[in-house]
Amino acid sequence: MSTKKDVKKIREAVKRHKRETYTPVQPDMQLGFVHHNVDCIGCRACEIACKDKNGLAPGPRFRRVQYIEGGTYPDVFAYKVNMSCNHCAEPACLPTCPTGAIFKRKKDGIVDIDSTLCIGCRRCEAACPYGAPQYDPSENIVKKCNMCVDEIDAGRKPYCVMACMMRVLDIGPIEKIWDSSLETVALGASDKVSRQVKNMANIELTKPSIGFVAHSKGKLK
Amino acid sequence: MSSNESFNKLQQRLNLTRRSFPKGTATGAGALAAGGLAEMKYGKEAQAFVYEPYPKDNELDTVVTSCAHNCGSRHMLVAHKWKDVIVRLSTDDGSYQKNGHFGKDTMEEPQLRACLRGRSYRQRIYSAERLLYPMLRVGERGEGKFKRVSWDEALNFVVKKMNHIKSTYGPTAILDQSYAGASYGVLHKSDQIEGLLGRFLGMFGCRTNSWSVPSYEATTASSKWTYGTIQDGSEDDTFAESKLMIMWGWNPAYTFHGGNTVMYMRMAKQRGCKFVLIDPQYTDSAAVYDAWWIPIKPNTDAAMMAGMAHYIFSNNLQDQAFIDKFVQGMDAGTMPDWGKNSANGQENFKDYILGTYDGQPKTPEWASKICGVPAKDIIKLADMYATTKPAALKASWGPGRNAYGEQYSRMAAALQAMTGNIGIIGGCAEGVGKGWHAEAVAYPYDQYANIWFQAIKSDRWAHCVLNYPNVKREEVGLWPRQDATDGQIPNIKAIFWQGSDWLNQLTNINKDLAAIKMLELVVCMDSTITPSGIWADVLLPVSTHFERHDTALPWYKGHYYIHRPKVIEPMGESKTDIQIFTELAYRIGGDVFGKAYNPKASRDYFNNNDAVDEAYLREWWETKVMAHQHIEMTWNEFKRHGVYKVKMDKPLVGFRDQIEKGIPFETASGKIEILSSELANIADWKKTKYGYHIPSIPKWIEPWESLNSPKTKDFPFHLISPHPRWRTHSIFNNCSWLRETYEQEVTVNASDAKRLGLKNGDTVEIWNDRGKVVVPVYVTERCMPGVLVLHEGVWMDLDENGVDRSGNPDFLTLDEPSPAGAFAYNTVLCNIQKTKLAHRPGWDQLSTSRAHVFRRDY
Amino acid sequence: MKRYCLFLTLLLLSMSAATLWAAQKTGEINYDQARWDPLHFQPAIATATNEQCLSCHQEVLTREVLTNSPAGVVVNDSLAWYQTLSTYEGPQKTFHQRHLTENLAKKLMNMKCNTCHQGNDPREQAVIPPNHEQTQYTLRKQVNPEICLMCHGDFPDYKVMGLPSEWNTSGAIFQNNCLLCHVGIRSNRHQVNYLNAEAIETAGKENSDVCFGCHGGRQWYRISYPYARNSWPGIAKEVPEWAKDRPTESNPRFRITDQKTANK
Repeated sequence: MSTKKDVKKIREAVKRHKRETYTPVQPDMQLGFVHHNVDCIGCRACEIACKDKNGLAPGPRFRRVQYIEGGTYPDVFAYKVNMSCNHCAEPACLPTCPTGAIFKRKKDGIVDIDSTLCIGCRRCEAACPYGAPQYDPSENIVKKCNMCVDEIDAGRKPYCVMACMMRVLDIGPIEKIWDSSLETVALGASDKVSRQVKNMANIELTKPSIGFVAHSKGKLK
Repeated sequence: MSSNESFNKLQQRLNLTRRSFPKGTATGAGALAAGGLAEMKYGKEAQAFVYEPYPKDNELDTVVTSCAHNCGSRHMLVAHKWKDVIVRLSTDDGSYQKNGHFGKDTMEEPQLRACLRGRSYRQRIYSAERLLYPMLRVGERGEGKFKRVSWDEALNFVVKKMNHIKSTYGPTAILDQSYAGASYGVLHKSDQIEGLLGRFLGMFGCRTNSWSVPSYEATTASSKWTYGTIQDGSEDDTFAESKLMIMWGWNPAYTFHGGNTVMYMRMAKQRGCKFVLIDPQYTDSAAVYDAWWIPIKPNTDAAMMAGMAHYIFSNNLQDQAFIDKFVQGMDAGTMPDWGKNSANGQENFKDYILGTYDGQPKTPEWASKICGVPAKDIIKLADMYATTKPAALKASWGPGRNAYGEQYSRMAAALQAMTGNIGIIGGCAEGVGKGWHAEAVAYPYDQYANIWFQAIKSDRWAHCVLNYPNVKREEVGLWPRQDATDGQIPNIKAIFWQGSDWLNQLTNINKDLAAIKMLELVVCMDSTITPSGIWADVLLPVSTHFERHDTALPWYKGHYYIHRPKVIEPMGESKTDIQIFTELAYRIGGDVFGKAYNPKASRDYFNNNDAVDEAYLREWWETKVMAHQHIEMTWNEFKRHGVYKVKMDKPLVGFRDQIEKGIPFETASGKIEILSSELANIADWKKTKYGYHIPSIPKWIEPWESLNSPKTKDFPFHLISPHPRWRTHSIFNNCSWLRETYEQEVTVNASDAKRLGLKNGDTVEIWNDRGKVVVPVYVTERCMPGVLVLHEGVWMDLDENGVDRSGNPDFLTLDEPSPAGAFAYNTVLCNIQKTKLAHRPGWDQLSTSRAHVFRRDY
Repeated sequence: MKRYCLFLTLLLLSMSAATLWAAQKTGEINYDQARWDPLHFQPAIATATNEQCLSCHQEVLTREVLTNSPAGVVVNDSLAWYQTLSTYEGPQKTFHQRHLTENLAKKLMNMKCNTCHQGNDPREQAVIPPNHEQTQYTLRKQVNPEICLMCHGDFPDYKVMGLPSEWNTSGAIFQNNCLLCHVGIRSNRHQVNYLNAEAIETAGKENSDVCFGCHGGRQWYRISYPYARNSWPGIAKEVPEWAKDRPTESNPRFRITDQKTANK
């Protein structure tokens, strides 16, 4: 049993730790998503699979297929950008959490949230540049994609990936995704992966673990 | 946390109720079902999950089943369940089939991954709209007041009414409006022509059938005339072999249309296939395949195709050898000898196109004036199509859902034939597009399968009811009979809906609503309350396909069977369709009718159906699947795997044998009939089911409404109502997960919107002389000027003045079918303006992702 | 819709539909129209007052954090990082409360709803056409994270500041007093309309935790915002390498209207 003095010591230690700058976990291998912005038909089967897997009410959307369009009739174009949580190398959500509900796995760099520890201050939601943490108004807490860690630990892939009718969404070691060397049908033979597309927030903010095959109109110069 | 509180939390997390209002008193169907899960124990592992308790897949029972609706696809669903509750659904991951493993996904045996609609099934099973008990109407018809009654009371009511109606009004008084909404399986089949309801009413001796199919009557008529069969399709893997894919009004990114159609088309793109889209909208299909978009005025497709044919003929780019060998009536040289002596068989297609008969060559310039596509684009496309091999002109069903839609389908067949793209891999003769033939019938199928006493064009029932007996046979498209009752107008006094929401889905709903008030009995059999059901007298709850034993088959593309065991027990007091019909048969006609309707069943089938259903399915598998298709897997092994994927020796190409081996086509001439032998020999059109003249060769016919019509003075916009991605017709309209991904809205071109002072989100009314609907507007450059797009299937919601607040386009469509029977869903002129009238989406929009910032009742 | 409601009631199913429809009928909430209110878009949102925003979105301020998390974490027993600072007393607050209604926030800042929220089209997923120069990052959510970065970034290298290590460990050497050095070495970057520059000055002198709270306490991002290099008395003639690409004036949206006063 801890003495009164110990409690005080612990409190001091916690306080000191809380004041320290957060140093991100260096994962043994960082998993990330890859999405083909052009070949995605935008059906959102991945979104629905995710809602079903996570038992979500309408409102929170862990995965968001975003519809981008432009041009002037009849010379128009359209493409999709599909994002959930980017399991960032330097997650901004994590250090904002007052209860330590968010953590990054050493094994594969997945940023997981234990929503049962969440008190609903919504700080992580504000900090994420990509909108991954989703507030669930029915429970007054924040939840987010955990890349289906249970499926990954069981040797399978996340529900969204396994839902893709076009096979244009996949996961893999992020370095392989970025250098387009991942063996996946999500990438065509000549497709090159970009780390960023237009209208996506600055990746230097958190170094998101995601790669896209960008549309010609969505590529950054 | 009190047990009650945690129970409520569980419900919310499993999302078993339709809307998760914190203060909601939601104790719907799901609450009962969730009982099993509340008991579930879970270990406290050092892992975090989005919520607790979190049942992992490996801790749950895994049951392979499939989705079940008439969307043109059929995919695997895998239920992960705890006791009698489905906790979540996944789909094919390659591991379930024989010799499968996780991730197996080959060209030969691709995974059958379900779409967004299939993935949302749990919300349909456990929805607040689920019908759980028999109900009888207590208010006025359409008022929506019902009381719960026992099965006994409901069935006795129906029996009494049926007997009375038959004895008073005769054998045509009950209209069969069964459709494929509830049950597309081999055993529990709701089907328009030969389904379980048709068998029941036919044996009862009182049935008027609805013969025209809303989805695709233009193309079935065309394919039967041209090829003698609707089996004109190639399997979806052959799309990967095309060098040019012309998507004519086809948006597989919305409809999916086949097991893996969209994926194989991606392969084609990766191999260098060029894509073209002819459509008033720049669809997601165009975006994905980087297609050359050719915007076209709605319902002018046949004119553009005629222009293409003119270019091909006048530049001698046609495959003359193919024409000479396989085609009848393409040109003077392929005309049959009997033609000149026949009623309508004097003209050949080439001379029509060149203007020999009417002095009007159907040049690209001529076509351009009608369809709005620049002549140079028509020429460019015709040249591409004629000089690229293999090239697939995929003539989809949508442009056929029009006035004279069959001419579009026929014209497409003429182009496919003149370029020799039929019967070769990577080409396309579709059309209907039906590929591999599955053994489809496990239910009793005998001389009683399709007895009818009159049959009418399906969208003319209201016209028939409202004008009886002053109705001409051609007005309702009476199917000829070989007895004295030929031509007798049916005296319709009752409607049966089985798996059908036709009141919400047929044309000109206001006319339907006037007619339904005149009926004496309206029976609705469904698993959820539907907009049609609101207008019924009796609601009979049907268990979903998760709650009964069956096998799923693809009906459009794909070659596989998926077992559908009874995943959970039927919810509430719901019964299967066969149980209901069998019980009605026993109650009406005792053992004689009962035994004849369902030979394997005994009197207690209403309460014990498992063994009988198993017997029907086993017999079907052993005597049809194993015997006819030489499939060696036993029934028990099939049940264990849950799926059987047929391996083909070579890709299935429509009419490959006819072209490669010279086997005759199934037409009268044995050839591809661009001149239809059937049509050419019709002298008295009134005595045909068509009612009105149809040219024997494909021709351009001006539709009764289009952007070229003088009616545009009052109604300057052409409205089309394609299939949405987020519903199967009206099914799933109540699923909040799907509602979150879209809105019912009208698509308007940006320049039109600017002129009308409309911006995104404005509420507009759209009207013509048939009705008025209210919806929000979506302004985009991706739509052709002058065209409005409003997706079909949203659940109607009338205000006190009869204005539809949901935005259902069928308040604006006309109940005038094309001669061949095609529904003219896309032949609609209307007007649009900003309005103060209210749009009601019919669900809780406050739940959407961005709405939590908006004040709500916490 | 009357008949649906009645029907659902009869079925003893969810009452929520009826509740919603009843609410819509009374005209109190019409979500469909409200979300397209011009106030949600430019140009109206640029001049929207907090009162206007809060008349609908009042729960932004009234909603409190849970007292217990679902697994039973008692909020009052847990320690948010800002509670470790001597500048803060009191219970945990929500994100919006911390920015708008907390004592320190009110004292040091002058934030408004539209400091961060600049409006977005709920139908569009991105600006049409997609344009990376426009900083409307609607691919994510309603707020541009560059705005967050202005306060929640991190000066990347303590060595540039001449510190032997991170401030956490080296602060004591400097008497835990930022202004020991920064009384001389500093620009006028607090001179923007969402901060109370003078109050920050005063408070910073009294307690370095005031500075630390924004500048690297528990920063969100590990990069710093490229602040404008507004000139100040004694500014070096040579622009240092790290400031080469920076603008020389603040974003017009954040400039204090009376620049003379601001630069005094």
